[in-house]
Amino acid sequence: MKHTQHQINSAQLKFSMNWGIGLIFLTTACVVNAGELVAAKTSALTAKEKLGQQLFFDTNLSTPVGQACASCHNPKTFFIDPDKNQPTSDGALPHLKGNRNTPMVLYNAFSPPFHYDSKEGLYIGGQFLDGRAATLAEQAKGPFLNPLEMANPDKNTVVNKVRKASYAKLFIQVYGTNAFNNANSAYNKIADALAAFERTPIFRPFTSKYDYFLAGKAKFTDQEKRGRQLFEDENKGNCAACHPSRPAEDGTPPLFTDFSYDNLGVPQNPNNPFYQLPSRLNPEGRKFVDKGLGGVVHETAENGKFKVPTLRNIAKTEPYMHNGYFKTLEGITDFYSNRDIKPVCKKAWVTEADALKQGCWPKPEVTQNVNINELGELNLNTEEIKALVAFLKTLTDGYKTNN
Amino acid sequence: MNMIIKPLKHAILLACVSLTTPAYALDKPATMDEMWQVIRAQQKQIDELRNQHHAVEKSSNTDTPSSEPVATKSANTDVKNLERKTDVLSQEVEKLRTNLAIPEEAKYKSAYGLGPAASKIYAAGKGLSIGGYGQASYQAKVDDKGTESDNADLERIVLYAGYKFTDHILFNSEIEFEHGTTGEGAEEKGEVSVEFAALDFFINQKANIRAGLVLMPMGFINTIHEPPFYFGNNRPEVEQRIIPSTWREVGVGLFGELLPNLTYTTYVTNALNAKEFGSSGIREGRGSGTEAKAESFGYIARLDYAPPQIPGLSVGGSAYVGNSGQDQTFVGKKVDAFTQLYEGHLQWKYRGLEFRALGSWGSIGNADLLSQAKGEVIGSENFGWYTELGYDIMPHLFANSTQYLAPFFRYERLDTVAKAPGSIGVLADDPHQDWEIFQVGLQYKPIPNVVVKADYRNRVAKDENTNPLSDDFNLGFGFIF
Ligand code: HEC
Ligand code: HEC
Repeated sequence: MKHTQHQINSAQLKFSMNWGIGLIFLTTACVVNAGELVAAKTSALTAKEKLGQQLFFDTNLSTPVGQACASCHNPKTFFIDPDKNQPTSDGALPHLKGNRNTPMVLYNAFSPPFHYDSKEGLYIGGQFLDGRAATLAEQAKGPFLNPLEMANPDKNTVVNKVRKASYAKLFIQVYGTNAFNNANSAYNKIADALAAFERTPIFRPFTSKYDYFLAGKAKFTDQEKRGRQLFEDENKGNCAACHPSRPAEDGTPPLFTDFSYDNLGVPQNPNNPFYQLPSRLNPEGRKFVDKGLGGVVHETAENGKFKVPTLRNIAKTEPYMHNGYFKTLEGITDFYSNRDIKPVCKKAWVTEADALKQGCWPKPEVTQNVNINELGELNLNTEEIKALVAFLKTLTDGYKTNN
Repeated sequence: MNMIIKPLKHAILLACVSLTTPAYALDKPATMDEMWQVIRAQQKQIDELRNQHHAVEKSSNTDTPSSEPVATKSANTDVKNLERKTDVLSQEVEKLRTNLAIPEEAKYKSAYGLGPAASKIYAAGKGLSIGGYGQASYQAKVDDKGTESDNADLERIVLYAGYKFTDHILFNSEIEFEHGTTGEGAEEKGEVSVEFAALDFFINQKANIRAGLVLMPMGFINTIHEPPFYFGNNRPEVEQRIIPSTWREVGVGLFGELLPNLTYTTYVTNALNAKEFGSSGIREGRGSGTEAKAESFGYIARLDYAPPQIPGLSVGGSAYVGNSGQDQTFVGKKVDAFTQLYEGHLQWKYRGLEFRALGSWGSIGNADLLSQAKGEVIGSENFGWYTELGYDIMPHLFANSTQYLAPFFRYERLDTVAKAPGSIGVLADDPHQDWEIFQVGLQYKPIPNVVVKADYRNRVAKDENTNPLSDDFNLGFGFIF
């Protein structure tokens, strides 16, 4: 991968920003019924939310400069990394790469604060794929200082950058004249503003074909209908068990995640660049195993579990899964259906494409706690896999209805 | 050893035989306690006699093994006599005991629209009455269509318990155990549920009061669902999906006979819950007395007439209306979800012939919003009808037989989304809910309380080509007591 190609320069970013605003108008234009599909107008953004928007798109906030939140969560590409050719993202220092696939940040505000639900016996909610940040504001404190991401040496560096930024006035307007006095509290405020921006309707457009279908404004093809049935049928896909597809009791449109954690038995991704990092950053090299939730709560019973992601915009947000192992929805669906039917690949480090060719699936990255009850042996035929994928493709925001 | 056991065996055998022969006159003690005392005393006597007898036998065994000694003979008769007495007494005790619960000759006759077994308490003198029914079936899904698998099921065992406090006040109830077991731990298998539990206050033939968890008086099956009294192993689908049997709600109302042969029932109950309506109908919206939502009320009334000129004929109808919104929001709006269900029925039983026809139509207000909130289409109108014909051919096969054997045929047509609230997306019709069912079967009753059923159902949905319904063959039995 040529790193230079996806270094976002400020011109590109401006474009992204415009696009972000374009998206807002798009949502307004397509809104069917106020209250049903959530509308948003930029003018409706509060000062704090506007501040958050500035921070989100500011490429100056990394060390070296050049990387913003939006570089990895680019609104042009549904808030994921526009570089689809590698499973994880480059940092501000392009030779440094994280170990996880950048998730879409749309709809993240719906994730409840990280907690243990004793009734269900499950960890629920939080931010990051392993839930290590309880809330959006917690989360926003991470990337600035992560050496593999925006790589600032300390909070002071970040706060000073904001102090000198063109929107510093806005910052003072929102948080008061003394807002910059204490680096620690100023840093928390930066995170607070970012979280406020991420809670705006920009991040929850609900404008997919499926939303229009639910509103009675878009027709499904027979295949899409069949796909939805399979998605919900407990004896078929059973996908809705973790990716709920119906409106919630309170009227929230379906989010396609219950914010729980699970180990699907996703194989190690041979193309994960993290394996190539120097031992200073990845001491285990190829032996590195991502324990997910287990690494955060330090319980072996949670090893290998990752947060159930929303499936909204799934057709546009490849690669998939925490390590970007999958590039295609057909591959994922085949994996869900045949993981425990097809033989385990003889060799380790087999890519998705090769596994599909060889008619096998590699062993899981974490062999403990693999969910064998709800998936792995669905016995879906090719027709059914196609229908499921057709349904998943209706979840892309920005659908335009004829009427 | 053998030598001792042999005469004992004889005695028991004799006692058994005496069970079936009528006893000669005995002074019957009045209460159970007295009776037990007498029995105990007699048992003691028997034991003593038997010991004597054994002693004699033992000593005689040594010298005259082949011939029976005289002393033993007389002891034997004594034992026999006494044992017979004891037996008769035991029977009396047993009778006294069971009389409490089961009348000597239960008359299975439907009362106030309830099933015959459920109606026992109405015929009882006073006190407790127990009745019940059960059914089990084996269902084979016919292979070519659908993906469901075969199953064997103890579908339900039901106990009726009624208690008559006075001639004017009685309690009646039905408790149902479904599918054998409730499963272990979190397993969801069977269910235990109270089907109805109500107090009746008899005031006047024309107007009596019932209050509690009541069976909604709609159609044939909802109030009378004891297996000997309907054809086939499965209740008609119209009376499951359109009229959601067994439909019961908490309510209070009046019932009685207005004019000769003209009966009525009417209740005010808690209303249905529209949040639980679905493409397959209003069934899940029933409250069933389980912390049911009661922000809105439902009203139901039924009238039945059996013209005396035409024996065996009865015609009737019923209506339910009520708001199902229950003060909840649907995609951000509070709605009434005014729900109506009407039904008319006719039954004619003449000689061996049994004919039934039933039609039902319903409507649901705000179906568009309900559909959007649910994520599946909810019909703004639904309907279903069926007709069935059976004929008892036993008298033609065996002129003197009291058994019953009837082939039957049933045709059903129903659509829970007869009218969709819109034409696009989730508001559009779901052809999978539009059903036609052809059913044939055989019903055999060796005695009126027990039935063996075999039937075949050919079920066809409108989208048969893409998403077929399975056909099934069903074999089962049922009984009432
Ligand atoms: C170098 C690329 C990169 C940059 C820059 C970046 N992120 Fe992320 N983001 C990621 C990755 C990778 C993850 C998943 C990491 C994990 O789960 O450990 C993530 C996770 C998140 C999540 C949680 C998503 C979820 O599904 O739980 C949020 C919210 C988020 N980022 C917001 C931000 C904000 C705000 C910024 C700017 C302050 C930012 N990101 C900067 C790559 C990046
Ligand atoms: C037991 C819960 C569960 C069930 C059932 C389930 N999923 Fe998932 N799904 C998950 C989890 C957890 C992840 C993330 C796993 C990871 O990153 O390692 C995931 C990820 C995905 C992804 C990738 C999302 C992304 O952005 O990377 C797709 C696509 C997906 N699931 C589709 C499906 C389909 C289709 C079905 C039904 C055939 C299904 N899921 C059933 C839990 C589930």
